[in-house]
Order: sequence, then structure tokens, then C-alpha cells
Amino acid sequence: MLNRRTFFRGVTLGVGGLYLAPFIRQLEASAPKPARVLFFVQGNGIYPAETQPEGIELPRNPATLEDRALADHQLAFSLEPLQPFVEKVTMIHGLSGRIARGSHNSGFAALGCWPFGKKDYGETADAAIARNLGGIYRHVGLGASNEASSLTYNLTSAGKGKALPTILNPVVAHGQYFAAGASGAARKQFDVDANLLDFMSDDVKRMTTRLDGSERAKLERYLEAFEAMSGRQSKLAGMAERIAQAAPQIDPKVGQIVDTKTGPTGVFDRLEAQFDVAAGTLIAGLTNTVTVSAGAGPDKIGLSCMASEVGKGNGYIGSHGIGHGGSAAGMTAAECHALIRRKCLEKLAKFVQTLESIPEGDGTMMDNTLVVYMSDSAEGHHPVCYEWPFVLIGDLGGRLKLGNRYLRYPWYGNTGHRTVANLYISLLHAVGEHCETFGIKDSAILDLNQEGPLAEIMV
Amino acid sequence: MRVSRAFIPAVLFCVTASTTVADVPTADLSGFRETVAPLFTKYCLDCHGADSAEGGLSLQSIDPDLLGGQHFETWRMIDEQLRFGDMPPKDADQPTADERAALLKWIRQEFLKTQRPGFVADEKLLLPQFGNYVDHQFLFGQRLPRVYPGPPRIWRLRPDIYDSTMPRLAEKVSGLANGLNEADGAEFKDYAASYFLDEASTAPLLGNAKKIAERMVAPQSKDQLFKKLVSDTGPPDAEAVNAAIDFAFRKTLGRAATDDEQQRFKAFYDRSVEVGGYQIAAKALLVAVLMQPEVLFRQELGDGKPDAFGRVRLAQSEIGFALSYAFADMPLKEFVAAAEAGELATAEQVASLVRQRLQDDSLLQDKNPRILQFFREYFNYPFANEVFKDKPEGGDHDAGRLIRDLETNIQDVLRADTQVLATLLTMRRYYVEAEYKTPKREETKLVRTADNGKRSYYHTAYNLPLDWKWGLHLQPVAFREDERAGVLTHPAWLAAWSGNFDNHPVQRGKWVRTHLLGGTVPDVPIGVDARVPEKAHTTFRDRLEIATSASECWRCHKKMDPLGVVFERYDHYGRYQRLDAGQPVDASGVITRTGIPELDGRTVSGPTEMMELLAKSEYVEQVFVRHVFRYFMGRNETLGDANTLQDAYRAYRDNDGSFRELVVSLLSSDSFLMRQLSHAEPQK
Repeated sequence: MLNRRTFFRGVTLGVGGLYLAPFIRQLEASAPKPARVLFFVQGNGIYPAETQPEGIELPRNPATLEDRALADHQLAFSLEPLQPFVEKVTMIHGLSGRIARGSHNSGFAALGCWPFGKKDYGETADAAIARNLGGIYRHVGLGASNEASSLTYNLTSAGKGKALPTILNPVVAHGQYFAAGASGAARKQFDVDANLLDFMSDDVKRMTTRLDGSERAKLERYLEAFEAMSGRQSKLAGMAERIAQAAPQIDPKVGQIVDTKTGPTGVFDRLEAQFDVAAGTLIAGLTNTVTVSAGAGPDKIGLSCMASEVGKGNGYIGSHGIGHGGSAAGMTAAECHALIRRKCLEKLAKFVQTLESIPEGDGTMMDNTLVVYMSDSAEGHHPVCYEWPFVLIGDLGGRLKLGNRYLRYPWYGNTGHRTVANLYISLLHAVGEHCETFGIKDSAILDLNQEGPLAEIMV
Repeated sequence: MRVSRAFIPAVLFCVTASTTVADVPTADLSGFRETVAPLFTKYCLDCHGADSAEGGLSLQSIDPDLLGGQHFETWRMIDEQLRFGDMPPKDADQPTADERAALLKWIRQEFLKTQRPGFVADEKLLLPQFGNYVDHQFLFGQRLPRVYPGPPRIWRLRPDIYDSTMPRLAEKVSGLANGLNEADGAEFKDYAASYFLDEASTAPLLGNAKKIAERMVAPQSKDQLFKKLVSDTGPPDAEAVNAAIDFAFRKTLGRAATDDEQQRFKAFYDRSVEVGGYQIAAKALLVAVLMQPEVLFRQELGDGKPDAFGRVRLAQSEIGFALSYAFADMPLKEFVAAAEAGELATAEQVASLVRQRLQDDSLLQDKNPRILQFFREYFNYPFANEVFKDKPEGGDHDAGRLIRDLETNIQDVLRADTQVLATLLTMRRYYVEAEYKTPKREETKLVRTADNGKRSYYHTAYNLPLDWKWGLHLQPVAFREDERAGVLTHPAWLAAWSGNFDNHPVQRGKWVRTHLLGGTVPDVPIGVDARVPEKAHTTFRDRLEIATSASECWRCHKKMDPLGVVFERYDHYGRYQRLDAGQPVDASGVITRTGIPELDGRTVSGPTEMMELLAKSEYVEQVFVRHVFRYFMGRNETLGDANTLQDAYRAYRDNDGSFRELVVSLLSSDSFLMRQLSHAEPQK
């Protein structure tokens, strides 16, 4: 039970006229401590050589575990937006993800740890965490893409063949999650919608009687959709005020996705809007698990943009070209990657800041949150996946031993080496699921221990 | 395997007797006990017992019930191993010919039961990649007494239909969300079984419906009946609401609302007015119509009295839509009008209208976009666009133009409509940088593909020299007999079926195995993650062999690799090559495991010889017909479609390989026009 003591409006954050009205939430002593996880998956995101903190060497083939404080070191240029939170940041290097390796991206396999070609083969890590953390919306999938598409299925799946959507249009996402919080005509609209959903359920039910077997099952899915939406509608109605408080303001212009190589792509504005939506859904208590992706949508190979959007150079920066090491907009590929990464992390930093600004219990919402920042393709554009770097922010309310750490595991094949799956297992342990394996093991290193969580980060 | 004569009547009986639900076939467990189990014990259990389980297979506890049991896939594997003599291994005791035949006979008999019309042992068999599981010999063997069509079905609209029809329902509708997913992969996309609408897709569709409803009542709307509902002068009277409901049904569904619908929608509207006022209620009313299952799912339920065998014909309006969507992404006037006039009552009427529709002498062949789309999905060459490649040294790579070139060829083939498959498999002339275009106020003609100011040297993919001079008189450009033959040696297809840096003989071989030879290849086993090793001075073919020659790999790879390696004649850009990694290319291959005597065991020296051989095969043509069937029916064939397939094949063959006549035959068949009711009592 949440007991709202006070509300205050008026914190204006960032660009684009975003107006967020956070409110204070006081937890009653008996309630379990909240836990929230946000995955931020950046297409072609984190290349190790470009993100190494100053003064920490990048050895070849290390045989021993390295575990040191991160705050003593200046973060790389592209990671600088995270510097203010360095006490909360953990960089993990040396985990491999060979099983998932694909080309340009790993799709569902990045979060699933199975061969790339299997697509939505099982339950991905974010979906598994979402299953444990629950919520009116169990999982919220948001993305920013260069392609003019509103929805894709690309990263998250709740089980075999159960891909979950990633909404690529922030305006669509806003409409989907915050309608109950609207007022006046918009609220009447919400009530008529409730009526509509009930009517549709009834209407579809009539038709199912005309069909048999698998044909009937198809229509039953459609019926279930209306029933589920209708059930949720009544829950949302009960929390309208809270949703209204948490709903971000989104510039309608970010909904007009234009596929262009000559003018501003707006892709970072969309990403920022999606982080706002993500924060809003968490603050409103609509969900506890969000996956935000950037350039991991239908374009699949990272974000492209105009140089003006990252503040340097002149011309178009195509993600495929720079992925192959080509220069763009008068800059080297590494420089372009760094600028794009930095831009993305500015948006992520704003999200962290928003959660930090909202008190919860004795601290802030961010205290009970974990951000998992990762690439969808390990260490490169055509990755070999010997190393899949991760950057974690927060410690999930003390459920994990994270913050101000730089961890490097022994290299692939060496004793003590760990895989991405072990990290996901750790996260699952932290949310209460004590599994020992995740996904499919790497058959080339069966002699190494691929089971259980990463002992170093477990409490 | 040749089917023994004595066996067919038993199978026929099983299929003939399948009109009612009462006589669901049952597994022949006593046959298993008496025939199969003793032979398994004698020849197999030493290695495949509970303790040994070599290759992960134990026959000790195999479920003998193929209809409902868990081991359908295992039985298929056993069948193949026995049929092609892979098992027992050469150095083990072999069953006699009679024993082997008895085993195979039992397995096939049980398989055929699972393929009974309207009965599918495993849901996955409804998907296009499992189409070849249905017994070819049976389909093209004896004639059945009649066609046993599929059950009544609903078919989620493909995104193209939604995208072209929904925005037309009101003025200025744009930016609709994409709520309809489409399966990935190289299979036919628009399958009735593949799609459903769950919450994730319903939510955006609901958003779209709201957008459209908004436009329907907007000031710019031309639909006065809708605009009346939101008039600022006050709420509409009951008559106006009823008129709007009826109009919404006609506009959206192409039919009037029934009395029952009229009442229910009016009651819903009245409730909405109470909650939110008449203006919001008006939009909700329209949204409810726009979200009707009938809008989002094509209906093929059938209508009227069942015939003596429990089959009903589709309603004429259903046929009108089905024919329209077979050719285009929107309802076509001629079919809708014919349905309204009652002129789609007989197969002959349908055939005649379809034949007219297919008449198309234009160069562009764009009257019926779904026809060209078939070839796109069948050969999957447009996937070349998705395979990223660096620019090759001394040349260029431009997937888009390679695809356009190939489609210019295909347009010619469709226009000529003669020996369509054979021509596509063996044509020696390709268009290079050439396409049909209609310049303003001029007739359509062949032109050089515009280069948009950026000269591309992608013609090197055809081994044309860098300084090759384009000329209209050269088109289509002739290639040597042993250099190119048909779509499969075209750089567009080769690039589509390649990796970023290498050829993909496994995928190519799989394509030939499934799309031309009608074979099946199991899913890649979980955990298999083999890569072709890097090795200097070694051809890709030899490196592939290193990766797949282990016996557990070869069990499946032998179905693909020997067919796919013939394309090693080309590099991954599609360029003809004599050397690979400095070594002479060996592009020889061998055709095996088809069960067709004139094909099995044939070795070929390279791709052009293989294409010539396959293009002459009746069997390959039949496999092609099966694929055309799937595409136009939106489902896999079942044994009950045997007559339809035989007729379609005959129409194709008797009309000199006419694709149009093949389509006419399919779309006027009972498989297309009728549905089998499972509950229907046969008419006395």
C-alpha cells in the first residue's frame, strides 16, 4: 500500500518541454521493499576499447579476476554522462556470450543466451525478471529507431514464440500507458473505452461459437486481448490520480518518425521521450520492468543520425558504415560511436536523475532500481562475443553488491571465466528466482562452470 | 520408396471414412507390438536401448502412437534412416528386405493417419516449413473420390491488406501503427495458421481504429451520416444512429448490419452516451465496428447446406474477397460485383473470371501484384537486401539493383507464361541494369536503371568487366551455357542465400532440398553452434566439410551440403569463380534421397548441369505446384487435397507450363471454394 503524503509539481527537466510532476511516496513498514529493473539495450552499443576508464588497463587474455573501485578513475568520454552517479556504477568486463553471436545484432539472443537464429526461443532475462516483479503491465518495451515503424518484436520474449512488443513511437507509448490519468474529455474517453472493451469482449465471444479447434483458438486470443485490456482498465481507473501525476509531457512531434538521411532524424529526442515514458510508468507504479532499446529495432544495427544531432561534424552518420570502421561526417568511426553513445547516455542519465529526484522510503526511487546498460551485439558490429561488456547502475535496494566497482572476469576459456548467463542468473536470484542455469550453455567451454550467479556481486 | 499396390486401398479407406468426427483414426498399437517392436529389439536396441541411447535416441520407450504421442518427429527420423538405408549401420546386422518393408509400411500407414484432412497431429505441421511432411507419393498417386477441403477458417489480414484498405475508410488517415506482425524467415508469409491477434497487436489496432473513427466524423469527412452523430447542434435521433450503424457496416464490412447487430450496436451506443456524451459515443460506435473480427480476419466459414459429405461452399461474398486477396491487397471490383450478382456460384464461373483477371500482356506485369510476390517469397531473392556486404575489390555490390534486374527477367517469364518453372531454372540471359519503366506520357519500355548520379559498378557481379559498356541491344545479356542457368545462379539469389563474408552452401542446399526436391530438413538441434573454421589456402567447400563431416552433423547435412556446394562455382557476391582461396573450385554435387529413380544418385559437375536436370523433372514440377498451392491457399496441403494438386499439375503441364492456368485450376478447385464441416450430418 502506498500512502501519498504530498504532491508537488514544477520540476522541469531537460529539453523538449518535458514537464514531470513527481510526487513523494512513503512506504508503509509492512510492505516489501520495491524493486525495479530497467534494461537499456543500445544497438552496437558498448565497444570495450572505447569505454575503458582511465588508468585501468585492458589486458589481453587476463587469467585472474580484477575487482577494484571505479570512482578512482575518470570514465571514458562516451560514458561521462554517468560520472555523477559513479558511486552507483559497476562496470563488468570479461563475460562472454558466444552462444548468442549473430551479425550486427543478436536480437532476442542478447537477453536470452541461445543461438541467435532461434529468435524468440525462450524467456529472455528481462521477461523473466518481469515475471518475478509483476505489475499491472508486467513488462514495458520501448525503443527508439531510425525506421518509421511504431512497433517491433526484437528483444524480449516471454517464452518460446512469445515475443513481447517494443513500442517505437513515444506518442503511441504515452497513449497506451497514461490515458487513465487524463482529465476532462480525455477521462470520459477512458470510461467510454472501458465500455467499448466490454462490448468487444461480448461481441467476439459470440463469434467464437462459430468455429472449432485451432480456428477457435485464434479468436480466443483476440477475446483474451479485450478481456485483459478490460480488466486492466478497471485497475487503471482506480489509480488515475497517480497516473496523472506521473505522466510525462511528450512533444507530439516525436511521434512523427521520418526515415531520412538528409535532415535531423529526431532519434535522440525519441529516445529521451521513451526514457520519460519509462520513468513515468515506473513512478506511476504501472510496471516494475522496462526495456528501452536504441537502434535495436527493425534497423538492428545501432542508431544513425545527423552529425548536428551529436554536436560535431557535418553530414550523415550511418550506423552500418561506422560499424565497418568507415569514417562519417568527417570523423572516424570510433569518434562517431563515442558521440552516439554519449548522446544515448545523456538520456539515460536524465532518467536516473528523475528517479533520484523522487523520494521513496528513506531514500529515493533510484535506490530500489537497477539499470542494466548493454549492447545488443557484445563487443562489435560483427561481434565474436568473447566479451560482452555491461554497465550497471544501482543495486536494486541492496539486493546486489554493486556500485563503485570495476569487475573483470578471467578471459574466455580461463578458469574462473563467466558468461552473460551467469550475470542474468545473478539478477534473477536478486528478484527471488533461484535458478542455476539460464539459456543454453556454451558447448565449447563445458569444462568451465557456467552455472549459478556471479558470486562477486551477490549479497 | 515405391508404394505397394496392396497398401493403397487401406489408406484410401482411412481417408474416405473421415467425413464425420465419430471415426477419428486410432493408432495401430497391435501392429506396433506384433511387427515393429520385435524388429526394433532384433536390430536396433543394442545401440538405441535405454542404457545405450546412441545419438541421444532410445527406442526402448518410444511412444508408438503417432497421432497423439510425443515422438512424431522421432518417427519421421526413423522412417528416413530406414528408407535410405542409413540404419542399421553398415557393419551391423541388417534386416531383410521384407522386414525393412514391413517396418516402413507400418510407419507410413501411421503417418498417413496423422495427415487426415482436418486432423493434424501437431500444430506445427500447419506452418509452411512443414508443408513437405505430407506424403508426395500419395498426393500425386491415385485419385481420391473427392476433395476433402480444410475446415471453416478465419485468416488474419496480412499487413498489406490492412495498410491499403483501412486508410481508405476515411479522409486523410495516415500514420497508422503497425499492429500486424509478419513471420520472419524464408517461408510464405501470409498463412492462415500463423497469425492471431493477441493483446500486443490488438492494442495498436485499437489505437488505429480510434484514429480512423476520429477522421470519419471530422469536418473534412464526406460521410454525412457519420458527421450527423457529432453535430454541435445536439445529439442525433435514433433513426440517424441506426442509419449510421448500417452505413458503417456497409462501408467497413461491405454488407448491411443484421437486425441483431443493429440492436446490439444501438444498445452499446446508448450506454456510451450515458458514460461519455454523444460525441465520444459516436466515435466509440465506429471503433466497435472497425474492430469487428470480421474486419481484421478474413472469413471463410462457408454458407448454405452441406453436401452429402459434409462440405459447404464458401459464401459468394467470401469467394469475392478470397479471389481479390489472391491477386491484390484490396477488394477487386470485378469479384465483389460478381459475388453480389450471384455469379460466383460454380467453379466454371470462378475459373472464367480468374482467367480473365490473369490476362496481362503488359511489360510491367503489375496488374496482379500477388503473382510476382509469389516468386519473391518462393525464391526469397529480395533477402539480398538484408545481407550486408562490403564492396568487393575491383567491383561493386548493389543488392537492390541485382534484385531489380532479376525481376525484369521474371516479368518476361510471366508475360510469356510458357514453361515458367523450367525457364526460371535455366534461363541463360539476364538483364543487367535494365528495367521496364513508364516515362511520363510515354509507353512502358525497357530502360537503363537510373543511377541517381552515383555510378555503380555492380555489374561485376555478373563477371562483366569494370569498363563494360551498357547497351539496350545487349539486353538481356547472354551468358555461357556453363556459366549461368536461371534464378539460382543469379547474383541476386546467390547474395540472398549467402553470409556477410562467405557463401552459404548449407542454406542453399536446404532451399533446393525443400523447394525443388520436396524434402525436409529438421530444425538445427539446440546447442549446435558449429562454425566453418578459418583455414588458409583451403576452399570454403573443404572448410565446410571439416565443420559438418562428424557423423552426428552429417546425418542432416548430407541432405543439404551435396546440393549446396555446387554453387561454390560463385563467390558470395555471385561472381563466377574458378579458384577459391587459390585452389581450383570443385562445384560437383550429387542428388540423393528423393525417392525418385531418375534423380537419385545423379551426379552433376556444377550448378548449370544441376539446374538443367531438375528443370526436366516432373517430380520437381509437382513440388513447385505444391508450393503454389500453399501460397494461394494460405495453408499446407493435406492428403485430402490430392485431386486438387493433380488437377493443378495437369493444368500446368497440358498448357505448356502456364502459371496462369495453374492458378486458375487452384482457385476454382474444391480446396479453394469449399470447407469441410466436422459436425455436419451428411445430407440424406
